[in-house]
Amino acid sequence: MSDHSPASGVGASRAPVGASSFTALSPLYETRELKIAYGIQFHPGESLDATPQQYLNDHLNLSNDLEKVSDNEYINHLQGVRFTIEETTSKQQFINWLMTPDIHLIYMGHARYGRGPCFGARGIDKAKNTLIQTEDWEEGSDPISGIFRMGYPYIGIEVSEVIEHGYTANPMKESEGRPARADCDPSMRGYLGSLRPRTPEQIHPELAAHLRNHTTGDKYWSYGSGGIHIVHHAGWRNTLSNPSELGTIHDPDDPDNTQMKCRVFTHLGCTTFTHNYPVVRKIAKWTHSGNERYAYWTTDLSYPPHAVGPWVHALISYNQWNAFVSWGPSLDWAVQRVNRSIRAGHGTYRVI
Amino acid sequence: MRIKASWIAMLTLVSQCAAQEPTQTDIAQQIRQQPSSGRAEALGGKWLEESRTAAAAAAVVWRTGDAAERRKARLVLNEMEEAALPPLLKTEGDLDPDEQIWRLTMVVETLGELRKSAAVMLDHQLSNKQPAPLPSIPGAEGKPPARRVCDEAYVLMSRLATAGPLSEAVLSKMRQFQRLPESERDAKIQRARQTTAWRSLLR
Repeated sequence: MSDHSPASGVGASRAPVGASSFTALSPLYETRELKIAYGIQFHPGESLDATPQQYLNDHLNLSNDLEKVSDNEYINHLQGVRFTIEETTSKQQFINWLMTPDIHLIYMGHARYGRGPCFGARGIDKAKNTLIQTEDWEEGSDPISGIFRMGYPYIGIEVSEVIEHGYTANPMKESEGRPARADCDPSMRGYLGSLRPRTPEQIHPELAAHLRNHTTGDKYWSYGSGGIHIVHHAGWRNTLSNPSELGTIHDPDDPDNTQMKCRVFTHLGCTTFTHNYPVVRKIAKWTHSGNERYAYWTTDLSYPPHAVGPWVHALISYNQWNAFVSWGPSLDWAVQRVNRSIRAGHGTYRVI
Repeated sequence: MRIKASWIAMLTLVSQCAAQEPTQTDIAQQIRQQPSSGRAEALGGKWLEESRTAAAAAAVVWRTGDAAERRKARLVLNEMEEAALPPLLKTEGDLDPDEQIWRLTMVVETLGELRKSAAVMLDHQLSNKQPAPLPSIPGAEGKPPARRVCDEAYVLMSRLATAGPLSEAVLSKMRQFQRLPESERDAKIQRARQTTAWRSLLR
């Protein structure tokens, strides 16, 4: 136990999640709200390998120092921190949480090749084990679905992805000129020299039916031979998806007045350190300062074991006093802990 | 007298540890009996702590004993290889310059020996072409690379050689390698094995 810690297992009276009444835990204990936003695929009841609650039930060693109040509330007396968990599959709620001060927001779902967190009711037909074709994979069908954009302006993706997911794509036309290297997602920069304008029919026989604002004769930038890739309009500000974009809530020229006020943002989609870290941290300049604006990303395809359970477990199980001080030490420890758990499950990616 | 007592206590502790050393059967049984993943992880943590007890006690004698005790404790720790690292890394406060230099040297040379051992292990696996496919997930963003054990060994070889954090540049190189056709990956692995830097790490 830390020297700063109160006696373990204090007999504190506790209030349920959401209660505003003063309890014996206050003011010694800090409450940390873990908000989990799930994407269109990989949410509980969809195709997430284990919910955070299931993971905690199997991995958390409860004791006088670490109490479970309910599936969504835990008290770590060694940290002096009470953790609450709230979950959503709504894009609008995700945006609200991005703008909520002092919370830890975790996104678990597809990165959409870097386009951004993507929301919807379901991504997989579990009975058939096939993708559900829907506009929710791109613009969405209502305010709670579709992509919240936080990517480079241009992202190259194999054309079969459009057909398989059944959405209307907005690829870059030859008439717009060649994309500048700095505006392209790192995954396509190696192919810029081989970009070729092609008609939809030359790219894929079904593509024309999936194009936004297509006019006969339009050609689209493409590359690759076996599986042809097309260059999608993506971006993070002034996009087709406005206001579902980072630029609406954060201005790199006025970072002190950012509306992206969550204290921690953890993006557990695929390869987000490559796709989104440079955009959010370097281009949009949402940068770490003091005890604010922490961010965590994944290094590779975040195949099962999914990291959301291990990440929540790591946050809750840190065993040093951490109330009302910098979250940094507990987050540093959580990164080590979650990567150890991912390694144990044969995962090839890491959280950094 | 206090220091003598700690030295004796350390010896007693070490001898107790040796006397209570569990058998392979005991270990296997304890692992089998863990009721949850969390308990299995906790058992690993408990054994880790137990395995560090003797070195931690020896380090106390090395820091606080009289000259003869410190010398003997240094001889003990000096033979404990990587098991001696945790207490040496955590040692704070002033040390006699000679002891400080011994500590720095011990840590760095032991890490060097571990690094060499890791390099030898990886070098053997650079010839292991057994496939190690990743699961196919509906909706997955991109096809997983057709990886083999040797491909992962190559990636880890690069990480061992650079020994830095996972940067954008390092990750980009890793992904470029993973996307190459098998023959090109084989060629890269062979070239990397022949580099002076790698050969010297294996020596």
